[in-house]
Amino acid sequence: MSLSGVLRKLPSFNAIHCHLNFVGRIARQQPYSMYQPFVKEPTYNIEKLEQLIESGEAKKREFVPVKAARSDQNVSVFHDELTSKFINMVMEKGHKEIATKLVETAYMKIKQMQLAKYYKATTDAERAEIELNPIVIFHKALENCKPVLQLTPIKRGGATYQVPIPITENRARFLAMKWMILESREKERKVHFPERLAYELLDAFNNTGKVVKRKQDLHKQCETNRAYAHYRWG
Amino acid sequence: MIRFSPTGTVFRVWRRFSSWSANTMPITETITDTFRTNELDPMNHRKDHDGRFYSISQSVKKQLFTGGGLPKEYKELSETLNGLSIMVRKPAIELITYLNKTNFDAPVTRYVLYGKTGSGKSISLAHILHYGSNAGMVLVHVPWVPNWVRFPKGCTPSVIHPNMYDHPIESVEWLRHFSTQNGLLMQKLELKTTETYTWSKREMTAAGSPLSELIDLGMNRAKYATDCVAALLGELKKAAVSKRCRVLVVIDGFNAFFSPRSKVQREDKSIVLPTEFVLTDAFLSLTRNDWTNGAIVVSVDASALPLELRESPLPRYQLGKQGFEHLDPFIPIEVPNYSEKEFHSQIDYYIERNWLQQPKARTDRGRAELSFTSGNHPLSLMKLVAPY
Repeated sequence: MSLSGVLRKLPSFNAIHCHLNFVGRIARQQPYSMYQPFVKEPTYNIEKLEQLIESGEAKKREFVPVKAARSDQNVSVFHDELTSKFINMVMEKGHKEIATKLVETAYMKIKQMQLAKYYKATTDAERAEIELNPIVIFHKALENCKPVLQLTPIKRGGATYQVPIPITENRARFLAMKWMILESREKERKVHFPERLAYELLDAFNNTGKVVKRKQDLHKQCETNRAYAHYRWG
Repeated sequence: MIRFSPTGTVFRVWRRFSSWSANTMPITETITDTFRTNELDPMNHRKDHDGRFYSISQSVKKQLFTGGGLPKEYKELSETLNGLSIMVRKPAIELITYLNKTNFDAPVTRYVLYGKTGSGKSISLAHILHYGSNAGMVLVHVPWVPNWVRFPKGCTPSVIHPNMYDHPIESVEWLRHFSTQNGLLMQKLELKTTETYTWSKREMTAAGSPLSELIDLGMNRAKYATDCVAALLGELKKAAVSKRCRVLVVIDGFNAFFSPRSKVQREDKSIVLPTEFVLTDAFLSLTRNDWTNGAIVVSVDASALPLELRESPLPRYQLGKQGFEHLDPFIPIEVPNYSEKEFHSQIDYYIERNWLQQPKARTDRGRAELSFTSGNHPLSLMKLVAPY
């Protein structure tokens, strides 16, 4: 598949060397993606690929153009999409290695803490209750931190009201991750980020802690501002 | 339960006895897992124990490794996994076979463990240390020489030896480590000094006084601790020759003694070489082959030297001309990466101890991936498995 056919042909300038004058216009008028709309996301999960081949879907997709895989999309047994997203949010200034190391250290600390509890437990029942897999803990913790409503400022008659509105899945996931990272970046910095993140994740997994409290505060605010909900429609 | 390795070899993993509690490390109960062995005495470790883990009790760990000897991450991992288990590997088995068959009337043999950083030299030395302890040998153990060269806690110019430097704090720590490792044995042996040591006008240790007195003096008086260490090593050498005891010298990071620089500086900011330390002199004298009734096991590691001298892990390069001439002739023993059997054994251990959590990683595809990405290198594998 030729690259020129797949990439979006933006009017009157080269996609790579753009004049600064045009950037603002592009931001308002056109989406950022350099791919044309029909180009599909890549499937890089080996199990899914095998399923597609078995079910015959793969045959239909043989000549469909596919986007290039990102550098963090891989077939490793350790790959987790949610963790990748989280690492991207932890990352600052493009230092992916540092961000990966921080999150992986946090996972290791989660394992250490849970194993300490596990080996202290005396009965099989107690041991069965303790979750040891850091990825499972991370997923559950994020679920517990996702809000179901959000507030948006709406102006009516000179005053700005915080109006509760529904939230999309992506926005909820984003807020959960953002709050988790912000809470783990303490001002004092004596306890470093990975350790704090580990504690926060474990708390959120047990439906306690600062991040869950922040979500619950948001829900309470939405509840108190219930009266303004109709402002959404003017 | 039958499991297949990527090459098609079949491993049979037996069901564990239901009475085995996950809390306690299995020491007395029968173990039938292929990655473990019942044989807890290193003196009996042979070829068929290769690739199997044997557990070391808390009391032995406390006795041998309180002053150092296990790498930091390994020690932390062993505490997380509720017990210290060491894999029996070929280098250690080779050394144990040699030590069992040594003619102790001949001059001491020097063994040099070499290999890439993180390939398992320190753990092999820890295994040999346990062997020496069980064999009733007096252990002279230096956990990691670069600690004395790169991070000295305050070197002072020596009074007795002109132009040389003492390590008062490190010497006290080392004497404490020595007495913890050899406490009971020294009580039993009741070794005595053969000459008088004069520390100052009023303080001296007379000939014929017990060695424990010498050690206690060193532990209490930091000023004389370094010279106490030197005196102790000299006495042990003489005691070994006169067959009053058998000495096993285990030194990790031996090539740091011949490093081109240290962190110690004189008043004029010139750098002191490690060969100008009194401790270096003492241990080099002990590692000469001019005595009998002992054995010297030493490791050379690239991480013991500055960054520009880490090109090759081989002994001749790591020791340098001076070090090589000092140790020559020696028996080099390579500590390689894991063999396939050892790799699977290590993964089995991580799975059994609940360290490798990811379900997909426990499959054959996961094992193949870990083997490839780590290159069967022990330290890399440990780091890859740690977060998942």
